[in-house]
Amino acid sequence: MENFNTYDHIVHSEILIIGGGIAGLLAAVSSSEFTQDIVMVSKGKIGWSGATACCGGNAMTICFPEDDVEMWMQKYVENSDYTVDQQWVQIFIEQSYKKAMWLDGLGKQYGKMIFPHHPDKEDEFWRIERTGNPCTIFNLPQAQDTLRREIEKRKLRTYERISIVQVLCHDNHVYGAIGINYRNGETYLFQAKAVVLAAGACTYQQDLFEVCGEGFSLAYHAGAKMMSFDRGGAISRPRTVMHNGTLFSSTANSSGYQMGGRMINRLGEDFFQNMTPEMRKAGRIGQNMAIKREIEEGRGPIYEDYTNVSDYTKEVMKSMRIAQWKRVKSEYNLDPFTELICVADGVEQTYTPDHSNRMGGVAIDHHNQASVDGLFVVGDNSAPVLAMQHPFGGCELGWAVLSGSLVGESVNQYLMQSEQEQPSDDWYVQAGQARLESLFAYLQKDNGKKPDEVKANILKTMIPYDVVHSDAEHLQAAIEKIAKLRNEDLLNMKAWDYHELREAIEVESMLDVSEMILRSEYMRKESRVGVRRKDYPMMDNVNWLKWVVLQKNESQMALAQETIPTPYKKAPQTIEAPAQHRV
Amino acid sequence: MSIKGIDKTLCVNCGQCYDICPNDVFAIAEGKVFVKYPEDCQSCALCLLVCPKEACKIDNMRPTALPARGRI
Repeated sequence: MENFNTYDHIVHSEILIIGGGIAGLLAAVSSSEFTQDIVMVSKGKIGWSGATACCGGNAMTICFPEDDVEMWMQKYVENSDYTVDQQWVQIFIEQSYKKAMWLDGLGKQYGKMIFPHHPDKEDEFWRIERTGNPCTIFNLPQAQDTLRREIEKRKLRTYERISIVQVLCHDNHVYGAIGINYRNGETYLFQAKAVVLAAGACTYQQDLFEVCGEGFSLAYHAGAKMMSFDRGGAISRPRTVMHNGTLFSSTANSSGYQMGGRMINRLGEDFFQNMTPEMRKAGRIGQNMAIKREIEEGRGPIYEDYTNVSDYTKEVMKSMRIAQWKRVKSEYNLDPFTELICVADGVEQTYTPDHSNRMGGVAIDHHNQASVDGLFVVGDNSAPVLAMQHPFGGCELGWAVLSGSLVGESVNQYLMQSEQEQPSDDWYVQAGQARLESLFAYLQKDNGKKPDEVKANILKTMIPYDVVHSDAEHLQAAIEKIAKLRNEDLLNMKAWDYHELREAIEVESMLDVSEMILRSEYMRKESRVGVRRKDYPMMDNVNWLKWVVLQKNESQMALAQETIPTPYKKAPQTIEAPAQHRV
Repeated sequence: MSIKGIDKTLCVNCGQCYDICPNDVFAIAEGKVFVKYPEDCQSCALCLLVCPKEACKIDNMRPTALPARGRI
């Protein structure tokens, strides 16, 4: 392909993997069992980007051979208010242990302990309870390091600092993607026979802008069916407690707490032990209520306390949270293992969508394939089938590891059966030209709003979550505001450099995801999982045991409902209580 | 939002913070590393992780008035 001026670089491969987080890394390694003709591309640094950079999961769901499989089916189904894909739960039951042990074995080849052993039993993995379900301690930095080395060893090609701006499709088949390097403005055409999207997550928390839903936006504009954006879900946290805790998040559900750390008040009391039944029932909100009570009754401030954990636990915790440990050390010049860390001296109860995303995703079949042929989706990007719709500790990471590990074989099967011929060079030029021109136009304007300003306006529209998303009236108002932002702010947005061009792309994605969330929520006329409608407070299994799905139709967002299959566990028709306050 | 800056008395301009930062907060000009987009920092602390000289300084999202140390 000579004289190809639209693109500065043209990269061919059999498989293109978009996203450099844990799911993308695993997708690359699992795919490389079949071919080495793989390209990975990431907006950030491969192995350090995505939700992993900011959330840094540290425990995950695995179904061990000795586990009660009925328990797992029940927990996944009931905690999701019957919205999980039960066939995927069955795949989790059958495959998650095998895939986790494969990853554990890979880590051992590099001297890494991805799944640390129990502090008292060296021959057992360390399992804790989070949100009432068993979770296995997972050392993410060790896993990332292992997978980075494996990708290097397998000589897979990697491209970093590239924002993918379009997945290229024709006749419902995927043929690659185009991207822009936001450090030098160079454009890339990635030609591929199959694409794995591993660029999920979208946040509306002001301090976590790296995950802006581009994976969702890319799939949507490629024509893929999307699902469960009405499961936006909300998380409640006291704003004076830092979002990521100091070493771990500051809740009784956190791995840090479950591994032996404590949240204590000024008197040294582990006050989570004294929560009222109401607080216990209210999940994270209840824990925030407990923090608030301590402060209001004069027992604040609140501290994280890791001083009494064993040396082995300290070693594991430090290894798992090494960046956070350095942050505490740098900021306060204290060692979190020898001194207490103050995390809250006041509480302002707020609700925001979870920073780690419970935003819905791409609808996939049981081989991770989207409704577009050759487009496979893993991790947060396709989470609604097994995770993300409900506060179920470790389910997102469990899904990232399971889906990333499984997808290689599915992609290989697809490639062996696919008889698609690659489109012409002219098609590739035309397919990406309009998109690139529209983006570079942000740079060519004389003046306009900065992308950060538009992001702030999106946040104002989506938050406070419990108001914006409470009833039809507020949802309709928010839909109109998002449309206004699209028609006014977006048209007037100006990128002053390539870095801001990256942010302009993020703004477009955030607007897309906002619309998906609001329209999906507006469609559902009941309450379920994380979303509670004040105008429809009850869960309605008779009429609403359904997924809200959406798809791009011409330039319109077309929504529909699909009955949720319940092959393993039926939902009761009558629900006596309103939807649970599980956030 | 939360990066305070680089202590240039310690920094050796190795560029590792620039290389790892997921939010592209750092830039390099004439061989010198500097914080160009502080508002985009998400406080993930990866710059601290890789910096060989402990030159990167960040704080958290909590109010600055908060006491850091516990004294019981």
